[in-house]
Amino acid sequence: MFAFIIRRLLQSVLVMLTVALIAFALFRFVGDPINNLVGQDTTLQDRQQLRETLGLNDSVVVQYWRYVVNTAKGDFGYSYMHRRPVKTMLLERMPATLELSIISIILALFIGVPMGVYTGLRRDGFLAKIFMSISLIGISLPTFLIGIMLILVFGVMLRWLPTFGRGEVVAFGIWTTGLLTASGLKALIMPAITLALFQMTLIMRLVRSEMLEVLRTDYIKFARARGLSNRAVNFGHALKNTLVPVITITGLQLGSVIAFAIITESVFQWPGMGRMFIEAVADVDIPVMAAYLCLIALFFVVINLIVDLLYYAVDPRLRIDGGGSGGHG
Amino acid sequence: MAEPRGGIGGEVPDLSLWDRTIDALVRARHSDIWYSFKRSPVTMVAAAVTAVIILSAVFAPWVAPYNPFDLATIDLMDASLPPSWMADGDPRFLLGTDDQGRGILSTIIFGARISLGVGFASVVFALIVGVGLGLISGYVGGTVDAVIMRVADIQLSFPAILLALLVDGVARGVLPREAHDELAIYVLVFSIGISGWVQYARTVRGSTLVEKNKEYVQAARVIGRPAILIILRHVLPNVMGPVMVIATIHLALAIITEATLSFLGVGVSPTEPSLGTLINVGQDYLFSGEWWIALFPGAVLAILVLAVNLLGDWLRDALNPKLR
Repeated sequence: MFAFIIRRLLQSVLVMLTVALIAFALFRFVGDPINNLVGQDTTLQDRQQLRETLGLNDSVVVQYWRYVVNTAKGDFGYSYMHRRPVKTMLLERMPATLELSIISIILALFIGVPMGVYTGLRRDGFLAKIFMSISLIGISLPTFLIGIMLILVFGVMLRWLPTFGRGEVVAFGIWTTGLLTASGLKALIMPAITLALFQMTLIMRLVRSEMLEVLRTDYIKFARARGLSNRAVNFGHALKNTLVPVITITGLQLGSVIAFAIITESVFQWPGMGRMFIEAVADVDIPVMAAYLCLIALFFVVINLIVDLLYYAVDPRLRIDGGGSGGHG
Repeated sequence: MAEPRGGIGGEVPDLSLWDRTIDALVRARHSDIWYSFKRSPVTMVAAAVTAVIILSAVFAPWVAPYNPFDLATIDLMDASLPPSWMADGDPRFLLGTDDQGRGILSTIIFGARISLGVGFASVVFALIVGVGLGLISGYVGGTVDAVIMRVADIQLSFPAILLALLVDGVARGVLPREAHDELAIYVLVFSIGISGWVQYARTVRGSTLVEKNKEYVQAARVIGRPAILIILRHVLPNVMGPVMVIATIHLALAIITEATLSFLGVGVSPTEPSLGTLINVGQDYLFSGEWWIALFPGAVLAILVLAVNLLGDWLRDALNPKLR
């Protein structure tokens, strides 16, 4: 157990160092950091001085190490466009993105799982076929198109919901939340649905195929033979056994939800990290891009690690093998 | 499908490409694939829809009523007309016009050309990189295999869209501004392609590991064929089946990714709008009631992706009888 945890931790650190290397390479070699920090009229001497104080004359390895240490402390340097510390910008934007992502994944779970169970049990039912067709459309429609269509119907034609922004927010220290005001909740509805739809179809299809798989097993047949009620068999035995992969995938998906929030945030002009990243890409604001990359990678690595450790705790077979190869994507 | 083709050494005479094509067609005519195609009405509709969109995109200059990029045919007096069946519609413009007086139908046909072009090119790029690395990884094994698969693992844990955005951002930083607009399409193809190779590589590596221990490969090795020829002539044809399924599904994804990037404003340059760019432009006019500028390109995009996805689903089932 101990060796497994150590190995997984080392792997995670390696991934983070690789990502930091990419981020560092971006920062150091895409454009000249000095040119991006100072105006046209700065003298050559001042530039040299700045170069020296920023340590850009040191060897690349030293610079990389310094970058890693600074990043670990949360210091990502200054934004080229806004001339503000990237850390402050990220902290301002993070609550909006996290709130949107978490609400979406909860929404996806609470609608996706029952739909999946239903389609798994009533495989050839009329409603099940409709759910499956809807899910195919859900996968085929690009996220931004769903958002635009919601805006057109509920924002422009019916005028029920606001089409952009986060509404009124309440601040708790550095955290701002839109969940406590009516306008904040109303503003959250459309972005959350847009972001949740794809995950919902994914969860639904996953639960369905897991249910179909489990319902075929011998212990389900045995449970039926024992004369247990349908309810007890379907929910007590079948559903329970489908939930491990569902929880795993949902956990892993949380990372991509945060990344996919980029699209939803630009459609609804949601003031989160994703929109900041898009603006950074358009403006070639490298420090912001690099910081976002590191942060997303951190989310992914931490979530992966937790899921792997949970797996290890849940599935005894992994322990006998001496801890699988850690082969999750 | 897993039957080894290509023979051993030089015993089977080399067929020309033409003969091979005819051979493949004749085989396809009598195959399970054709049979299952005829049995599935949904697939036939999907294939027809895909074919219509692809053909009109390819022959856009002849199919489209107007060339939206020919300034001579554009009249600002025609700007923002609704579709022809509505009260203020103009029979010349079936789906209405945008703010610059270009017919929506024409911009869609020319936009689909860019979308499909970028989609196909990205799939081909990802396919070549992925299949190549997968073959090497599976056939050579050892450290090479470990490195390639580790990179694939790391890349797979990031969403493709994020990677594509990042590549695009870097390209913006490296290339001068004027050059970037000109090269935007190539940058886009590269970024979408590079974010999609992993699927191919993993699948091909898996099948290569199986194939390389089969007798026909061992025989080829025994008679001293060079490894590169064994890989290309013997292993490659036998691992391509699943690759075609991945490619079809990837095409739908590549079209979505291109549209998304263009919608976010980091894709193709606005002078050559793809479907995503058209939707992005049209989004601003939703609020002033001109819904047709965004909605029709969006509908075409959705229908195209849905049709390609349906084709991919069908192909997967047809090639994998076990799943039925």
